[in-house]
Amino acid sequence: MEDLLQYVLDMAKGNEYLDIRLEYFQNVMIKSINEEITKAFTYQKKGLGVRVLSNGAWGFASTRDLSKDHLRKTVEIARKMAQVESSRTKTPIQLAEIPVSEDRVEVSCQIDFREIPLEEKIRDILRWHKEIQISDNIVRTIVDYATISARKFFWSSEGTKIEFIRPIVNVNLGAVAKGTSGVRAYYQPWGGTTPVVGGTGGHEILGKNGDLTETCYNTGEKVLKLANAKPAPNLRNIPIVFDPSYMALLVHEIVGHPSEADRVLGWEAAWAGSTWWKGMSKDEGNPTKIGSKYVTVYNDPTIPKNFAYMLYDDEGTPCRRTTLINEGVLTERMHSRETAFIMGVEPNGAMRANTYEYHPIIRQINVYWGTGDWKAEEIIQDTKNGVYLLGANIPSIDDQRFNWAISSQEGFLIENGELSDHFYSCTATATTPAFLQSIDALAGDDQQLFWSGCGKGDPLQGGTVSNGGPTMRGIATLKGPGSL
Amino acid sequence: MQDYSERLEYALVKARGKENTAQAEVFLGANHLLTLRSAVGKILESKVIQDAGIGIRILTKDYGLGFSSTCDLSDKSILDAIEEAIALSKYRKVNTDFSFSFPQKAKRKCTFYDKNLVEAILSYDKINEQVNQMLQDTMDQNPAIKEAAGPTHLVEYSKQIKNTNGVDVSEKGTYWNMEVLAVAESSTDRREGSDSSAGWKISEIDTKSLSKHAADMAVRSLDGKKIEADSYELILSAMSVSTFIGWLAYLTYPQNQERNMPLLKDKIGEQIASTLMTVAHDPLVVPNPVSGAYDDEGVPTQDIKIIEEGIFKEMPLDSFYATQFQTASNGTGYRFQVASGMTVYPGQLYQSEPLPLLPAAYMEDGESTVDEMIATTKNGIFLDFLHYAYVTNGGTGDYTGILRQGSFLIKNGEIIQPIQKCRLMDNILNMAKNIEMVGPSRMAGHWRDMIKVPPVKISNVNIIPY
Repeated sequence: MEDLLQYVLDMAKGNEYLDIRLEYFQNVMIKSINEEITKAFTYQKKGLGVRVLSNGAWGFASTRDLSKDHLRKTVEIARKMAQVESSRTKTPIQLAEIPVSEDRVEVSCQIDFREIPLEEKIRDILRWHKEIQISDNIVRTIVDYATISARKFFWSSEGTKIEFIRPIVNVNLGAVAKGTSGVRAYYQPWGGTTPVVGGTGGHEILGKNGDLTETCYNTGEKVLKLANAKPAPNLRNIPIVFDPSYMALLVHEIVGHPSEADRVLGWEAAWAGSTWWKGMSKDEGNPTKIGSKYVTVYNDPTIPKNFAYMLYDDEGTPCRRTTLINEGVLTERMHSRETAFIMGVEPNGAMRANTYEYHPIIRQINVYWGTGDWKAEEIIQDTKNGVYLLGANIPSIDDQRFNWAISSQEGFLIENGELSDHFYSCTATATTPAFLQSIDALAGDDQQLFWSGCGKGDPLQGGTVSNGGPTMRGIATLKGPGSL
Repeated sequence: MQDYSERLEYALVKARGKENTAQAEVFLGANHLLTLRSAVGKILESKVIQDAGIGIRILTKDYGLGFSSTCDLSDKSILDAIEEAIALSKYRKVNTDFSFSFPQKAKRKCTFYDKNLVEAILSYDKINEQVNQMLQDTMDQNPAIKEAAGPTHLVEYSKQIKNTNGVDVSEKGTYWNMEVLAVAESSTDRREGSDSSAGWKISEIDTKSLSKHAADMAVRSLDGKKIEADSYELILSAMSVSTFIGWLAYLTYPQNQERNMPLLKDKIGEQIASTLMTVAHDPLVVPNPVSGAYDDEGVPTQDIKIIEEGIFKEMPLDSFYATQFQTASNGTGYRFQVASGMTVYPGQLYQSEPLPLLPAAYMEDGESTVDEMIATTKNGIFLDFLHYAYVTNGGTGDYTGILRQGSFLIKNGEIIQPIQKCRLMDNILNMAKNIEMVGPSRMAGHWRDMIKVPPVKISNVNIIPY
């Protein structure tokens, strides 16, 4: 394999910068409903993506054909695109310097799913169905099981040589039940510390050392209650308490994406959008207070077990914890080498491509809210009239991330510090600057990370990301099924 | 594009030769995609993806169904994939009347293949010049325009399907898509306008009209007024309708109905929309990166009415889901959904099993013009671009999105001024039922979600400012 990588690297000409990602994947996906396997498939992919920076412009090409003849043609395609663009560009691209690294990172598994027979996995899946089915009112139980075994080499013409081997497992547990409110669905959030239903590692990270019994029961219990819940009311500008799994999607959408330096610079404007806090960070020479003291947010790809765990990004930059917001003040952005050069800061390891097929892009990895000085239960007790939302569902976000709406799987009315009515169909919405200023309580005892899922780029790249935080309170509007 | 027929035949022969194989199906998908992603007035990324691979489905004699795929087309990798499919088939049992498709001759032919587009991918220089010119043209439209951006995609795709029932289908096509965004600034405001188009012939690309529309919309939108939260008559442009119809189509998929989107479950035959709404699917009406005379199981595609005059008539069905409903596939088995850990790009995705999907939906024309819609509006809003509009609850149909670009207040039959961005918060079925007027359709939307849709006028839509 090293011969192949060296063969491609040797094609760099003159002052050209060239980097290569050679990757292998073996993915397994088993989907099931009511103890029946409805989909079961595997796929294997291997291939190479090459970036060429020639005279200040990028060219990129990827291929599954690893014959030397085809690899030569692939490099030539990338080079040609770079050269054509460089003849027209007025602002040549420059890269911030990074240390040259040689490393091999292999995530070990205590219970290695690659060694567990398929029959045993199927037996577990069918058992999890039975464990969710705690009542005849549960009309559908849903268990999806997926694993990814990935091996990646990153080599660059600057001398960086990195190999990364990572296993990922996730289990999606859901159920549909009938009750007084009709038919309702509930899905267990992915990740978290209780329960864990996925991440980087082996089966030991699932539930209690591979045992998902409690989580399955919890799924059944949740859906039954939800099927007897009330429709959420419409309540304008009220205190809303968000649980850690709701926080995952909230921090992903209103802090994570707008802190990506490409978005800040307007490079995502055409579809995804830009950001309302452009020019307001320490990286841009203007650290600005945009939230209360409880707004501290980090990006840290190096946290083990999370879905997006990594120690080097797809430019070979060592990853580190980045403080995006510190006690309400915007500090760092997430960078590529290119955006770091533009802003005059050090790269922090945020470039990723979903697979070898794609050009790497800046994207959040493990973005999470810091902790506060409250206990989660104290926040509820301290809320006189408000709402408690649990389990983020589906987002809709303004293109500058200035306004957001995110639905939750369930909600509760809070009256005099106690949970009362149980709601379905809850959507919270707020304007981001006002919301960030309104945050007045943050727990320090229940911070968790989950998988949020992410899509970015053209063509669209999916991505494994982790997000989360502790229980938090802020002012937002609650929207139920009726008119506001 | 390289010919992989021999590899496909090898896979079929080996899969058929397995002792417990009752039926085998092999699917080969190949793509050559060029993307030019531009922003802040220049091309930021030029990139090519070259991909090909085989997906193998095996139906065993005891009615097990397994699937595996590989992009490594060596003998060993294909044989490994066959073994994987057989191993998985032990655990997935299907109805005894399930079968892979049987040969059916398509009555229609797909001609969406343009050699000049393929040449444009290979030569690159000309399309680079065209995109740079588009960016410059957008900037030159008006001194208020400060930024131009937008992705351009060109793709050549091909697929081959063979199975042991005698299906032997081979198709290829080309597709392009271009989007333009213009940003205008005044002393107090910054607004956007955009436009997009798609087709299969390179000669159809008309960058000048896209630039003009995007820039005009951005400039006209400047210095908008904040509106009051209210129920408005809403006129959606074709671009905004594309995302609305995309979601309605999504709700009709049986695989979504049985999971977390049950809103239209068991609603076949019910009036779910205005009588002015007819939504259909036909890959030969709508150029798309999967357009063809056959779907990805080798079943002839057809013009299917999903919603006809507001009545939910038919859901998309591949051969697997058709068996569940004791009927036949209606030629909507496609393979390009997101798979775990992987992503989609245009063209055929061999690593996915077929699923019922509507990638080439369209909404039938109405008889109204946008001018007539405006003239009949007392208290309303015209919207050019509905952004990030999602159904946030698949059981109730809660629907929300941003009035991002080209939004104007209408009073007593006239556009009176631009408005600031605001949020639509309503219900997707209520909106579908409240469609009052429909105009002439065109290709519109984003990227592979480009579909053919008309502008529509909808009454009583809840809009809130922010």
